[in-house]
Amino acid sequence: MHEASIAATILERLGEHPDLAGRAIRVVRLRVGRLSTVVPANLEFMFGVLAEGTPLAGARLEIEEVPARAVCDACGTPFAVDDPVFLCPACGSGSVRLESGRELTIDSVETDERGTDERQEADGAHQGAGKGPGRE
Amino acid sequence: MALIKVLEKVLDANDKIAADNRRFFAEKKIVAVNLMSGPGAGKTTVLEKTLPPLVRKFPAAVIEGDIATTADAERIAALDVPVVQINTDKLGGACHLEALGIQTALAELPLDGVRYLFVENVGNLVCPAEFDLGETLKVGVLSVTEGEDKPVKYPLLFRVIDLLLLTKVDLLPHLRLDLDRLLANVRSVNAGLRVVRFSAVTGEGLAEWLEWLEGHAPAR
Repeated sequence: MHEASIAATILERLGEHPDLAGRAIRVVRLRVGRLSTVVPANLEFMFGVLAEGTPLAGARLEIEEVPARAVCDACGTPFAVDDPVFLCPACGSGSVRLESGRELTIDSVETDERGTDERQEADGAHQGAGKGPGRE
Repeated sequence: MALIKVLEKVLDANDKIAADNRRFFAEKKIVAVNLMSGPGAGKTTVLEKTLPPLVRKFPAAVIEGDIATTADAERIAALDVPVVQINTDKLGGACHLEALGIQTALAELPLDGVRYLFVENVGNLVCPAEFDLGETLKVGVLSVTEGEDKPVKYPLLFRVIDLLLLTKVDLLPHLRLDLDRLLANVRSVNAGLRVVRFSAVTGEGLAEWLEWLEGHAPAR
């Protein structure tokens, strides 16, 4: 339901990321857990809409859905949570630990070569002006 | 094409502010209770019944996350309990509260001596479950008129809460609700979850709920 604000947050975080400054981002890879409250198709749509007019315009959001997995505290059996049943299939215990399924992580981005070249030129210009890393 | 690893949690900014809130509550020895439910389950009514007996022993305050009106805040203010309203429209999303909204609201509340802070989240069984506010306790409110299936339809919320208040139980004789099935659904999602049957009409469950709250009071 809040895919718009999630999409806005992703754009903001990428915009602020120091390794991505000046690069042309083509693909953004996101990992979304099945138990997160995010609907992937809605998020992709909102990302496209909100990216317009920003440096990420036209970038594609690729969402990898992460299955929900749990481990039983009582007998140690790992199991997939495919239905909303958080009970150990081996011993029936309800004391289970969620191992995955709540992810909402920007995993990686793909940039095109042109963007990388521009970045290198920009870095060269900075160094020429005596502004290396740590100038703050 | 060049691949660049980013590995950032999208909600990191929220989680950091939530951690600040949690530290603040620990330092001030405040129990912060995040009340979450669908619309109309009775969160505000639960507060109306909880606050008068509670504040006789412990000062309390309320943060209201109503969407656009101040109706709920007015009901709390009528009890002489300090209340601040968060208008969730201003947070850029009207479906849940975020940690920043709580931090901002804390600055507006007189918190000297306050032991219990209730946060009434936006009526929604989906999004509020995702956002850590820095609260001490998460409490779910589900009314018996909502049917048996809510826990398995919204598993995250029922998974993350510390207690479930099952409200409007005075209506049970009038409903074709399979209470055993409802409780089995709760257990399938969160086996150890404590369920308190609550009625604002008959007073059932109020003492048990207050006792549970007082059991979480930090030592001073």
